[in-house]
This record gives sequence, C-alpha cells and structure tokens, in this order.
Amino acid sequence: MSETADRRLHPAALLITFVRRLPEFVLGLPAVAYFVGDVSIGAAIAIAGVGFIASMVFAWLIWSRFAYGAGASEFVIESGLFARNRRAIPYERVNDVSITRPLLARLLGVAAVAIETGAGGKDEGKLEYVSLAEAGRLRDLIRLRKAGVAGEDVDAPAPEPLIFAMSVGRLLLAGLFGFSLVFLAVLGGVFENVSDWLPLEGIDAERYIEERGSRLAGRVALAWTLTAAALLILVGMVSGVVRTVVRDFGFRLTRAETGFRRQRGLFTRTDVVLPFRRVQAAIVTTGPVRRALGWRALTFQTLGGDTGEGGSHVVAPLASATECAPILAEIDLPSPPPPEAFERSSLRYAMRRALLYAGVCALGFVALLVAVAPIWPLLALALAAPILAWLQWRHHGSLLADDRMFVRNGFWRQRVTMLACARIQSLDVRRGPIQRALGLATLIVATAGASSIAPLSVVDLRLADARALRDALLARARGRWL
Amino acid sequence: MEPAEQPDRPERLDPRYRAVLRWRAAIAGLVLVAVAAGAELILATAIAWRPGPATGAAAALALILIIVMPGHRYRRWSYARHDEALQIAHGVLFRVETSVPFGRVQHLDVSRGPIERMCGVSTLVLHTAGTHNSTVHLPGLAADTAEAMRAEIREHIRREAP
Repeated sequence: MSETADRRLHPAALLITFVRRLPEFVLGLPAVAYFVGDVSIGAAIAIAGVGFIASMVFAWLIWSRFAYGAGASEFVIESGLFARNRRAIPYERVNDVSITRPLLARLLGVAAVAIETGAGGKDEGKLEYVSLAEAGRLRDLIRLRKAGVAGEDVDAPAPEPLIFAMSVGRLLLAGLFGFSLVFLAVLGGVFENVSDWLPLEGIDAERYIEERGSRLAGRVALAWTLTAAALLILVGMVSGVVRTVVRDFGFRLTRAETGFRRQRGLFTRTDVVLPFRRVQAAIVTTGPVRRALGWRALTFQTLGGDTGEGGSHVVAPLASATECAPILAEIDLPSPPPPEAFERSSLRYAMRRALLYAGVCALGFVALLVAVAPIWPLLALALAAPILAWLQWRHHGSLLADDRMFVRNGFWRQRVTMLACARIQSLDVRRGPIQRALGLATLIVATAGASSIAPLSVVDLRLADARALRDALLARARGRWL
Repeated sequence: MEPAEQPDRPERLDPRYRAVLRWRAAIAGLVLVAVAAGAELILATAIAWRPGPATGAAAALALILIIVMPGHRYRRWSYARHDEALQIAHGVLFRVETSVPFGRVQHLDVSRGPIERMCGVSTLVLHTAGTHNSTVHLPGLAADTAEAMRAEIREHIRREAP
C-alpha cells in the first residue's frame, strides 16, 4: 500500500517559527558577547544573527521535507531531514481530530491539526500549521473516511446541532463565580523577585509609625488591613473574570457525528471532539451561591489520549439544570437525582472525620505551644471540627439505580459523579486501622480517566454494606465496557 | 441478568511465597542495619559518639521485619474467583479487597523476579484501564497455577471480544 504524501504545511508555519525564535535571538546576544569575549556590539549581533539564520534555514529544510496526504485507507505523514520517517495512520484507528489556533496562528489564518489515536496518550499526527480551510477539510475528510465513505470530493457536512453555548452575560457571570487568587499568587511571586530592585529601602514603615505614636499605628494598621482585604477580593474577582473570558469566550458545544465538539477561547481558539464512547463519567459541580441561583458546571471524564486537562473536560462552565439535561441525555445519563435519594454512609463517618480533624488540631496545638503563639484560633477550629464532620457526612452519599451509579460529595462545593456501571474498571473495599475499629470500610470505584490521587469513593460504609454495594456493582459491571 | 454465582472459597497463596516475603524482608533489614551502622560510624568520627544504640535498634527492627511480619503478611493474602471477577485480599494495617471483573482486564503479565524464581513462585499482573488500580498484582502463585489463571482470563477476554 503506498499512499502519496503530496501536501505541504502552510508557509506561515515558518513565519510562526521565526517569531517564536526571535526572543531567543535577542536573549542570546549577551550570551554571545560573554562567551566570545572582547567584541563590539556589532560583531555580537553578527555572530548571533548568523546562528539565527542557520536555525531558520534548518527550520525551512525541515518544513520543506515535511509532507502529508490523505490516502484511501490511511493518513500518511512523511518527515525528517536525514532520517526519513513515514507514518501511516489507519482511519479506523483515529479517535479524534482536534484543531487548535493560538493567537499568532489566528492572525495568520492558519491552524494546528492534531490526529489522535489514543495510543499512549500522545498525538500520533501533528500538522503545524495548515490553512484554516485545509484544517476543516482534513477533519471532515478523516471523519468521513473513518466512517467508511470513500471518494475524493467531500460534501460539506450538515451543520452540527448546537447543544450548549455561552452568551457574553453568562460568561461574565461564570467569571464572577470563578473567583480566583491565582493572579495574586503570581503577582506576589513577581514582587518577591523584583522587590530587590524597587526603591523601597528608603521607606522605613516601622520607624515612621513609631514616630507618630502607637495609637495612630493601630488605626493605620486596621485601615490598611481592611483596604488590603477589599483589594484582595477585587483582584480575585477581576482575575476570575479575565481567566474565564480568555478561556471560555465563544463557548459552543455542538453534536458532531460521533461525539461532542467543543469550541472555545478568546486568543487561542480550540476545537476538540469528545467521542461519546470515550466519556466515562459525568460530574456536576456547584457552589453555595451558584446552587441558590440554580447554576451548575458539567464536566466529563474521558478515556486517555486527550490533550490537556488530564482526562477531564468541561462541557458546560455555567448552566441551568434544564440546559444540562440534553447534554447528559446524549451519553444516556439522567439529571442528577435529588439529594434525598442518596443513601448516606454510617454516621460513624462523621465520628472518624472529627477524630481526624481533632488529631490535626492536636498537632497544631503542640506546634503553637512550641512557637509560643496564641492558641485561640485553633481552639475555635477544634470546636468547629465536629460540625464540619457532620456537614460532610450529610452531603456524602451514593445511589445505585438502573445500572447507573451516583455519588455525591462536599457540603460547600457540592459535586455529583454519575456513571454507567459498565464503565467500572475495578472495585476496592478498603479498611484502615481506625475504620476497622469502627467496623467501617471505604468502597473505591476505579474508572478510566479519573484522578489517580482522589479516585471515586464511597467513604465509611458499614463493612457489610460496602461489600453488598461492591457485589451489586460487580454484577452490573459484567460484559463489554467500550 | 443471571443470579450472582456462589463465591468460591478464598484460596491461600503458595506457602513458598512466605519465603519470598522473608527474603525481601532480610534484604530490607540488612540495608536498614547497614545504614544505621554507617551513620553511627560517621558520627563516631565527627563527634564523641559511642556506636551501638542505633545499630542495635535497627537490628531489632530488622528481626521483627524478618521473623514476625512475613507470616502476618502472608496470612492476609488470599484470592477467589467470584462473580466473573477475580477478588484479591491483602494488607495487614490497611486491608484491601480488590475485585477486577474479567471483562475489564486489558492484558495480563506473569512476572517472576529473581527471588520469586529462586522460591519457585510467580506473580500474575492484571492491567486495567482505570487510573486507580491500573495494575493489580497477585503474587505467590505456583507457576502452573499462574499460567492456568492467565489462560482462563485470556479465554474469557477472547469470548467477550466482538
């Protein structure tokens, strides 16, 4: 079988490489000056320039030796300057074709195409960059060929029905809920590193305050604290809005032939297809304010092989229950059941939690006593521990209905995980020393694409209940899962 | 859905696995004692330290590791075929019962390390697609038992393939 790789990448790819390497060139100048020693600035620029031109020539050579072609039965990519590599990707192995458009690529009207086969979680074929029209053509062509339709001319596919979209107003609202102090941490880090250069040494705040008496100092400190708190909240809100707008601008979820297609992004536009059969679980999350207003976020866990987000994909950043229902219906899941439908764990769950918190507090006491610091904040925390434990117990539960499993978690940030029992990969009944003393066990439900640090678990069931639930799930987990 | 079949009686591992655990503990104990002795020797030259207490404690710990623990750990291991799934129990402090449905096994390994080869046992390794329990180990099987179990699960996977 010999398919021809007769198509080149878009020349704009070279321009993008050029712009990307420019900073290296500028930063490389002092290095050249340092290593070569006594040279004039002109000579340093000349040396670095020659190196830069050489690297661009090399990039051009690589570009000119890169070719791809869509054959009848497989997609072919030929690459390599000296060692030639010919990669053939059979269409039936293609899981996903995603199109990414970083800012620079958008300005130049090109896009990166990634062909994923799910092998080893890496992109099997990456085309950086082709024209936007070519990217769309390739994706539709690969999808059609995969579906077994051969032929050179590809009809324009029918428009995909829109399942969910975010208006600008909704986007801003989602941003407010996305309150985040990440930017602050970044700013703090920058300040830490830059402060050496700032002219702050001349200002001695302590001496200044001392000179004006301690009474004034107290007032200044209070005002300062309040201002700082207000600023902190403002910065958190603004950064949340900015982050959300940049990430989710123009959010569109449509129904493609074999999966969901998600398009989003202000600067970098991404276009990802999540095949229905690779969705393993759905997670509905909400916070206290969002819940009161009827808003929630919907996330899918998918089987590996996806780029980014570690197998977790937001399909609705902020949506109402009625907007989530059609999305869930596509993968044959119902809306999350009401809280009272869930079966709670043993009340000893709260007891064990409280014990755990008490232990942490006790360690804290010792640390504070050693440090001769006031212990009253910890005392308050220790008193709150049983209440917190009880609240967590009230909001944790599981439900098994119609070959579907539901687990809910968290009293502040509530989340409901939903999955078909056929997606369960393995089950653990686990008992630690304290659990054994209390006659409890935790059931861990292992699925593909879940977090490995915090797998889905039903915590602190009575041992017999945990085993019964395990057996019930096992009986439903038989048969094929994909 | 047919009724869940009666679970098989849980089976113990091959008694030779106790020897594997003991050999491993012996190596760990030896390392422990060697590290303690080395640290004490360095301390003895740096400050006025009389070598002995740390090495002694390490030796006592090593003896517990070698004499007491392997028996405990061995006794906690068991496995059973239950409801079209392999059920494996183990753990002294944290007791874990892992169930892997045969239909969720992606592929299988039978591995034998140097100590296991010496003692004549094998480890059956089940690979699943889950992020938690992506590999499930069942150690301490006689070579023919491991091969038989592998063949049985392989047969099951083959039967389920479309």
